[in-house]
Amino acid sequence: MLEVKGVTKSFAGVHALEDVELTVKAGQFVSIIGPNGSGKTTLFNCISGFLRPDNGTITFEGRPIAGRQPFQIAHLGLVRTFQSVRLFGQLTALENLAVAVQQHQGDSTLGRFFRTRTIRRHEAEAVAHAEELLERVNLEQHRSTPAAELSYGQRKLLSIAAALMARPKLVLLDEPTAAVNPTAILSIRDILRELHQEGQTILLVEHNMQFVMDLSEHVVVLDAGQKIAEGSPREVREDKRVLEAYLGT
Amino acid sequence: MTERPAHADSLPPNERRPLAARVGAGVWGRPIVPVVVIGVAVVLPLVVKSGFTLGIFTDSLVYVVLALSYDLSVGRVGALSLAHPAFFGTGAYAAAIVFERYALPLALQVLIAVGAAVVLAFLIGIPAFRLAHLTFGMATLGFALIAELIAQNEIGLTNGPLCIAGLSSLSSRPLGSLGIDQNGQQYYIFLVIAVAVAAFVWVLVRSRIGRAYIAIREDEPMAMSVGINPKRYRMSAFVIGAALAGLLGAFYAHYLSVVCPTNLDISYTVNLLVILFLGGTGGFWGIIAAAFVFTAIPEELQVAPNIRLIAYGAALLLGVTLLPQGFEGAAKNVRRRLTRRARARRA
Repeated sequence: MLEVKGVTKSFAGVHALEDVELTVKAGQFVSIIGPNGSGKTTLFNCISGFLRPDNGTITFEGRPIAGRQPFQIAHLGLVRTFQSVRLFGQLTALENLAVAVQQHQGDSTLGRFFRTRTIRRHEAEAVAHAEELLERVNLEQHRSTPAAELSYGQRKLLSIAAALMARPKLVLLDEPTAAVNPTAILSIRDILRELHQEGQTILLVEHNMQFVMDLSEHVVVLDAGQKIAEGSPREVREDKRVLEAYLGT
Repeated sequence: MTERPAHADSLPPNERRPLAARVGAGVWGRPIVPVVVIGVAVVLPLVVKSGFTLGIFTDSLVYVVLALSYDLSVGRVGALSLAHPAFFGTGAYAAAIVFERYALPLALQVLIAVGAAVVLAFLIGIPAFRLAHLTFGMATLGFALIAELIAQNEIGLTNGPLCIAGLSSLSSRPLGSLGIDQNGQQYYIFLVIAVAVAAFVWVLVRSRIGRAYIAIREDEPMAMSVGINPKRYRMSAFVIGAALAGLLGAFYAHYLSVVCPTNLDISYTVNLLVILFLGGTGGFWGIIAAAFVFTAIPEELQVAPNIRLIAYGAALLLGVTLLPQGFEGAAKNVRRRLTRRARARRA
């Protein structure tokens, strides 16, 4: 589904990514791990269109996407979340989700303005879907709360729900557990596990090892911009180079 | 509105309205406020006998339209354009020129004025939107100054500082046959324009397009990651605002029956920024209220123009420090505090 080949990205001479390869198959749960500064988020930004790789190709369902605009990539069905939660603070939880879906239904602009019957049906569907997702992430009682007034963990959950609103083929999650309390981490884990069991393809960047090992089928390890290992969680945990990278021995 | 999402009734009452008004059905919200405001505006000329005072209200209506159309760009998508008077002036000049040379009827003049403003908005917007926030503002300011210079110096087209004078003045025969004088007729014409533009803006910002605008203003990377093209939406807000200003300009040309380079003047921008920031950017009723307050009060008090600018500056400084979210934000805060107190009393 997603293929990253030979991707290189430098910032003013520093190699953030060097010749990175990565494959995600439909239905897979793949995680990218690595110490701080290993290039995980840079790779994410290249895949989601926020950075243009210097070299290499990224294809999503056979289409080259490297260098395309983030909104174009989102239209193809590849949607990301952000490490630091990004939401539309003044909009309510429900509205945040409603915004997230609107670009994917192919309605005409005039129709949107005049709220034709089709638009109203689409909006009703979107609201129904949004309610479903709010329930999924246990935020149904906060549907009318402005996002800015939610707790950090709740906002994190809401941003995951927002990414799911568009029914993406592949969802990229950037450190969903960062700065979240342990109880909320467990509920995020359960939600992701359930999604994966339903067939959602997921690519995760994460620091929390326990979380990664619990969920992933396939783990890719980056260190200093290079892929140093990949395999099942168990294989990776026992890999010498991974231990070196983490423990610095 | 009779139509409501099915779930609305299962919610506590205080959560019903914003949802119904902002997502799904019920675009119009509670109709009481607009009905009262429009009602007062309609009977106003029966009470206000002075032509001078009525003229001030007409000017206020002009500012309502200018401010609401300007806010699409400044408040809704967060693009601080400084070129709004250029669209207003271009509309006025376009109408005046085609009237003077070809004696086209008003409806055609308005169409041409809107077209001219839209073309200018694209000409300014395409290069300017390549720039980030403040430099965008500077670029639009540059274009606005160029537009004024063209009006001053392209004498063959605009008569320069001599202005295009002698335009047919604005009047309505049906209103005249009701015994309404010229001032009243002009007031009602601008009232109709203001209500139509306000209704248009109201529907627009509550549509999905409006939600995309807010998304871009609140968090652009997030908006992009859910598939919103920020450039396209920003440009659309800018161009729609320009079109409305151009439309207003055509009527304004006939209202004054003369169009001068001062119609593109930057001083409009200053007035409009005061109205937007004290009314509350991204708002609606607050902006309308501010448009009246900051047009009517200085005129009514007959403040000298140079003192007026100082007073404006002071009002703006006080406003942004004391009411950072403008009238509208302040009103919302008061309302929130009252409901919280009421809820506490009940508990």
